[in-house]
Amino acid sequence: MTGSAWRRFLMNKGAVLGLVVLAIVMSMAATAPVFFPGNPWNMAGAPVTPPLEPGHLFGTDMLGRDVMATIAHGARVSLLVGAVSTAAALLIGVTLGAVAGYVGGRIDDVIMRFTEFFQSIPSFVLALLIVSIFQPSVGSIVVAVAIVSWPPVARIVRGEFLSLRSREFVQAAIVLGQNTRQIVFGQILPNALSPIIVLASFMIATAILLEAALSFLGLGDPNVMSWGFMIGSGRSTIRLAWWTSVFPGIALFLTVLSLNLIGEGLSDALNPRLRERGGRR
Amino acid sequence: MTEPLLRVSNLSVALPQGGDRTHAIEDMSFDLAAGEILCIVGESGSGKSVAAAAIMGLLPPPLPVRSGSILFEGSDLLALPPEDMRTRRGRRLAMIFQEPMTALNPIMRVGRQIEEVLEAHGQGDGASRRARIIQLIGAVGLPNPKEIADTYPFRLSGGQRQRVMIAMALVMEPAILVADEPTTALDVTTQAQILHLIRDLQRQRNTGVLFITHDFGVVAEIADRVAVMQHGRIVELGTRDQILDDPRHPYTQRLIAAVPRLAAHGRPHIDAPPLLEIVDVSKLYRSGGFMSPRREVAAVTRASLTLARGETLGLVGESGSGKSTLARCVVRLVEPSVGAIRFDGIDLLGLSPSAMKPHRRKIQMVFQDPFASLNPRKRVGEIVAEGPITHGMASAQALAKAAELLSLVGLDDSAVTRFPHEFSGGQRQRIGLARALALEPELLIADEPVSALDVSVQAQVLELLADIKARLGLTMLFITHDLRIAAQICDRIAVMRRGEIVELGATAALFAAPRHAYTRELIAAIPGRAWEASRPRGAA
Repeated sequence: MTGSAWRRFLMNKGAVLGLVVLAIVMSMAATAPVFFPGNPWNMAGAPVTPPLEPGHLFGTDMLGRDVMATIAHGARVSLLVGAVSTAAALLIGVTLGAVAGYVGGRIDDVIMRFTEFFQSIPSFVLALLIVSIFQPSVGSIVVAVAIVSWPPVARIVRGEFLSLRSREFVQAAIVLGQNTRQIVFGQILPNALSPIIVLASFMIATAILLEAALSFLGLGDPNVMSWGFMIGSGRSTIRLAWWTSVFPGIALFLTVLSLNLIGEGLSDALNPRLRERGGRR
Repeated sequence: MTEPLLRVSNLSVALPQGGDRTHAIEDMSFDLAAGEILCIVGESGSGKSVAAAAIMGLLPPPLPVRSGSILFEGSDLLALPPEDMRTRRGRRLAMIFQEPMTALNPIMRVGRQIEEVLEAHGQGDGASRRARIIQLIGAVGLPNPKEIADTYPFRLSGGQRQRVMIAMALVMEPAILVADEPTTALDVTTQAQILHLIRDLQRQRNTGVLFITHDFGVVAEIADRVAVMQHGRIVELGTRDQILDDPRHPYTQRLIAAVPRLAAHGRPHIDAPPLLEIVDVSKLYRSGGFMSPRREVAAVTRASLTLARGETLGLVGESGSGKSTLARCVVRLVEPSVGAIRFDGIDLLGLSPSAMKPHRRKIQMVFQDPFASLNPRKRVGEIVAEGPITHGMASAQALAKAAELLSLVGLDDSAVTRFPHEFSGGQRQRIGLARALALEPELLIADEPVSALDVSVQAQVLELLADIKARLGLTMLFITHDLRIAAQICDRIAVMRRGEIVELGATAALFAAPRHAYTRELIAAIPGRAWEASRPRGAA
């Protein structure tokens, strides 16, 4: 990101707020083993302790697990799934989209039909299917989320490559004698990065939500603590111990919101003209 | 003089903060009389289109009027409530835009679009409107008015669409017609027809026309009076003959001096071995297939020409004539369907990409669009050094060479580390030229290298090209739609139409005695030919 885009990003209050919230969530994830040592699944106090009791800021659940500790440990899983599955989806999506857009013709047709095949299945149902076929684990969740989230990347990258490929600076590179690799990585990809970066920030948010939804339905990794699992296990006792669902819910909400704010801020910062044209000033 | 139709006094329009100047228009005053054509001439960014928008009440919010008045039929247009302005727009004040391709609604029949104007001003009933529309479509010179009224815009050519736009503008018999570069997007022969049409209709109806253009040829064809704009100010206002033949303001003098002369001076015949031979090259585009019917379009048909070493050959034609396709065949950006392209005796078409690579450096290209032809993410130094690095030069050495070349094309040292967006169109074109020269080519292909530039910048870039060509002994294939430019810099000219080379000859001979009917038509359509005869012979 160039200096001026970074400045425009910092001018956007929502985006900076998002960045701050995300930084808090990340540091919480990083420091979870320090502040909340031991297994978050273990009993830490009397069951159903309400919030603000000494030692249990957010209270404890039906089995006496500390809610604050589960949120901190859950942040690790959420961020991990969000980041890794997005990276994997980008790898698949960018590669396929770039090939389709650059090569064109029959190969483009084949790749796009393949992409549409994935898009024709509701993504959550597909994710459920994949996780239930494999054993529910962090690995299978990451695979499932990546598989359902790459098609939009492929479509966007293909569109960018299609339009950039015919630009004169790309033709100039061909005339200079550059080979396909140099043209794709040196000329086209850097110009297609802005929409990819923006899309990636939204994809992380979606991936975190997907993981939470899977865990909510009991398809989470049984060995790691996750926000979705907390919300799911607390829902039956919500009238007795509301805090067991509400606090993980707030953590999820804030994380996803912050990623969306960052995504929007990036989008405005990287495409300043779009924003002016939209007349949102 | 009688009361003018329109009186603009001391009009100033502000620009948003942070621009390169504070006002889009500053202290602008002029009158427009009924039956008069006033041309506003200026280079890009001079504020001429903003003036048109101000009169039509179409200024976008970031450009507020700061002061001044626009008096028309007894009221100040700037002070009118929006509803009153609306009833005047279309009825008393009409406008034609530059882009005929986008100014019409693509999903509405042409006649219906014209009818909407009548409807908006509550004119007539269905039958009388229809009759009026058909009569008007005939008046703008379109064949079969009844059929045209029922067609969709996509079936019409650019010139035909512009005629429809003119019909739409004139349907309410407006007192004033504002035309914002109405012929810029058109081919030269179409442009001549449209200019003729505007002039005729305006005479018949005694309309006052405000004609905005950047082209002095067009001014010479059509204007009664001329206002020259620079940096948002009118620097000179006078009759056409005074401005063209006796410009007083230094800026006007400079602009007019920069218009290329049509006079093709005799050039010595270049008798050298051929460097490039294009033999019977054709390019067919196939579309459709699997789901849709197959279609074949011939972009180039059996084109043959030979370039002698050290020669400049002009490839001239209108849009769609195949001149760019042919040039792109030479550098193999486009693969010809049949034919041979021999460079220095070697047929390039048989070569694989890797076998082609050593020849690539000898044939380089300068592109048309100075904004699209440089990678926006790279520094100018890298852009120029890229070619030599690709061909194996060490990057430090290539960067040093880039700096040298940038100074050769007249840019200073600091350019190396800056990004393309920091440069103007003319400067970018110089960077594009430096990039092409970095590989020390023998053949330079220039694809409309100055058509996106203002006339004064155009002159500088052409001068630079000619100078560098002479200094480095280059051979050049120069593609242009502008015969004035071709006359100025080419030794020989090939005229293309619909993919075929219809005439090929020495420049002076071609202008003096064109053999093909199409060449004659092209030459006759060059705007401002009458002016050319009276043009003072200054420094060429």
